[in-house]
Order: sequence, then C-alpha cells, then structure tokens
Amino acid sequence: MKLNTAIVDDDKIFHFLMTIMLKETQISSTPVCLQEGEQFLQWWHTQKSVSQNSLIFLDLNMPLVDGWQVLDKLKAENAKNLFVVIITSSIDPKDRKRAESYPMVIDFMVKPIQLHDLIRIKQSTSLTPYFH
Amino acid sequence: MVRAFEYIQFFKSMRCPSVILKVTEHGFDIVNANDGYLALGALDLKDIQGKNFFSLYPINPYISDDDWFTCFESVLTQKTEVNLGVHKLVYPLNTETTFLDVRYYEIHHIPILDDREEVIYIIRTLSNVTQRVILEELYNDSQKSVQYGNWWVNTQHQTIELSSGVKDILEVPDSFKPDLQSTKRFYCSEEEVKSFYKAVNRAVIEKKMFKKLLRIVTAKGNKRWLLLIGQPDFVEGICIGVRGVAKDVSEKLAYMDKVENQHNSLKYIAFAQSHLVRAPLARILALVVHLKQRFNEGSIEPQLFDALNHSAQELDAVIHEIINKTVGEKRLIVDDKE
Repeated sequence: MKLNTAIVDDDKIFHFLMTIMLKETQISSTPVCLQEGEQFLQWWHTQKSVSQNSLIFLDLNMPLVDGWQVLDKLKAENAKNLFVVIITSSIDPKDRKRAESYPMVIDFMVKPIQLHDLIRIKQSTSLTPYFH
Repeated sequence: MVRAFEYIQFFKSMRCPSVILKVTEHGFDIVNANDGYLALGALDLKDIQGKNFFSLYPINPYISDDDWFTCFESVLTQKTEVNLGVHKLVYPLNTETTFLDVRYYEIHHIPILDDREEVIYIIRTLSNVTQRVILEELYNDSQKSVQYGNWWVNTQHQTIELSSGVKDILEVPDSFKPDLQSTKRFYCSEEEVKSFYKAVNRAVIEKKMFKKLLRIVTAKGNKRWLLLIGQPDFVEGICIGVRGVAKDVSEKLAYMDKVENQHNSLKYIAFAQSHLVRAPLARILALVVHLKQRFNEGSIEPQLFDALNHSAQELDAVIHEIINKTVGEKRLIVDDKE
C-alpha cells in the first residue's frame, strides 16, 4: 500500500533535517514540505479526492492556521486514511493530553526528532501494513 | 421657706453638673451650683457664690476667649433654651492632665424669665457625653480605616443620609448635606445612575438584598470603585427606604488587576518556554546531531553552520523578548518586591 508523507512545519531547517531522516529510515524518499496549516489542508483535499493514504508530521505552533486548527478541521471532516504524528517543541503536558482527543493522531513527538523516533513510528501497529 | 428648701434640694440632687446665674447689669453672678458642677472646677460653693461668672471662669484649657465671653448672648436674645453643642473639658482638673482626663460635655443654657419676659436667671448645665463621643469617634475612625460607610435613602421624603465613612470616600466635608439630586454628580455616567436605580428597584420589588459595583468620581475628581450592598426597609409591607453599606474596593480591584496581569505574564512565560524557547533549542540539538553524523562521514554541509548560528540567535532573541514582556513592560518581578 502506498503512503504519501507530508511535513507541516514553518521551520525550513526542520524540513531539511526531517527529509534526510525520512529517507534514511525509508519512510519516504519524497516527502512533501508544507509551511503552515492552510497549505496542508489544500494538499490534503487533493489527496482525499484520489483516495490516497497519508502520513503527516504536523507541528502545533505555526503562523496563520496552526496545528490545532488543522486537527479541528480534520476531525470535523471525519478524515479517513490519515495518520498524524504531532511533532512539536512544546513540553507542556496539556498539549499531549489535548492531542490524544483526536482520533487521527497516532503519536506525539517532542523535538528534536531522532532516527530511532522515526523507526518506532514506522514499526507502530498503525503503519506496519505500509512498510512490508 | 419649706418650698425654697425643697427646690434647692432638687437642684442639688441633679447629677448633671449645673450652675444658676443671675443676670445683672455687671454680668452674670453665681447664685448656686450643685455638687457635680463644683467638682468640675474643684471648688467649694462658698468660693464661687455671689461672684461674677467671668471673674472665676474659664479654668478649662480648651476654651477660646472669643467663644467664652459671648456664650450667653444667644440665650439672652432668643429667650429660650440654647444648646451650645459638645465642648471638650478636662476632668478632674489636675495640675498635670493627660488625655484620659479629657471629657466631652453638651452644654445647655436654660433661661428663667420674669413677668416682663426678660431673662433674670440662666441655668447652665453640662451633660457628660464622653462615652457617646468616644464611640462615635471610634465608629468613624473604623469606617475611615477600612474605607467603608453607611447610607440610607428615605424614599418617602426623598432624602439621603451618609455616614462620615461614605463622606470620606466621596471626599466631601462632614458638613456636606446630600440629597438624591446632588449625589448624582458622583456617578461616572448616566448609565451608572440608571444601573444603580434598576438594582434598587428590583430589590424593592423582590424584597431582597442587592449588591452593586459602581464606578464613581469623588468631589476631588478621583475615580474610585464602590461596592454597594443594600436592602429595602419595609413598614407593614410599604417600602420606606433603602439602607446599606458602601465599601471602597478600588485598591482591591487594582490588586486583582495586578494579580491578573501577573497571571497573564506567567501564562506567557509558560507558553514562551514551552514553544518559543524550545523551538530554536530543539533545532540546535537536531543540527548538532546531524553535524556530528556528517563529521564522522567526512561530509559536512557548510550551510548547516549558518543554520546553527541562526538558531542560536533566534533563541537569544526569544529570551530577550520574554524578559522585556514580563520584567520590562509588566514589571512582574519588581512588583512582587514592592
């Protein structure tokens, strides 16, 4: 099964490092890099129309449409075929707790992200079928 | 003779210090004085009887000459009992007095008229009202110290009474005579007046206590927050007025505002530390890991050093912003010390 991967973060250096690590872990060789929530939602609607499965690495604190607003819209649309991994610099436990209330969120990771974090994600129950 | 004796005994037995003066061409001669009066000046009757009042008195240190030598004028002209008000005296009159010897007396001059309606005698009485005055002073002081007072609106007569505590809050003199119209100038706006009377009317209709926070302007132009708690007064089901207490809560509200500002600052610090500080820090940590890996492989991308430098500067800028917002603008730390 094919899984399209997107990195949604306003930090270009993060895009750069994350792209390298996604390639190294063989999660994705061509991840899509998006700067903020609205860009992602537009991209997601095109993915949805062709019934593509997606893995999203979503930052919370972004300008314009932030990560929480993205999750609210996805929840309102009852989004399917979508796996969201929260990637944030926040160490506030309230953020982790809040993220758990969204059904499409499969993990919550605090930056800096390391290779073993991504390997753990790749081996998670939700994603195993896509990497065999 | 028997009747004269009895009258003297009645006069002598009066506990209120009193003296009888005969009005003469030369002034006011002392005819008699009861024991209470003699005790005030530590004198015997024989020392004062037949003598001119002003030749003996005053012996009270608190009396001014201007008031003293004209004190009988009002009773002579009005020919009716005159209340001279409360005067401060010293009792017992010792060579060394302390504040404990200060007494307050309400002085009355009662005229005795002859057949031609002329004043021939004056009875001067001094009622000891020390306890009442002290209690009033304590009551007023306590109102002043905790910045509260009492108010009473008589809806029947459309009058209003304010205690000294409320007058202090409104910064008006004790002599200020309020009425429903004149007190309207203390409200900040017409909306405040309407809002207050709406609360009062509802309390009257529902026969309940009401609580109202009002923004007022004092006579000296200072803006204050007043908490009014009142309840309607009913006599046989008819509302005769509304009475209650007023408390100046300006300082309390200012304190709550300060606490809220501090709370917002702390919320900002928590957010900043969790998101803003950690964002460049997490990036630096990630870059260091990546650089280390590339160093081992012998293939470092030079632009990563720029990224590292940029992140470190961003971190520094964020820390400066936190300091400015919490210490510089809101003075969080300085306020705490104050």
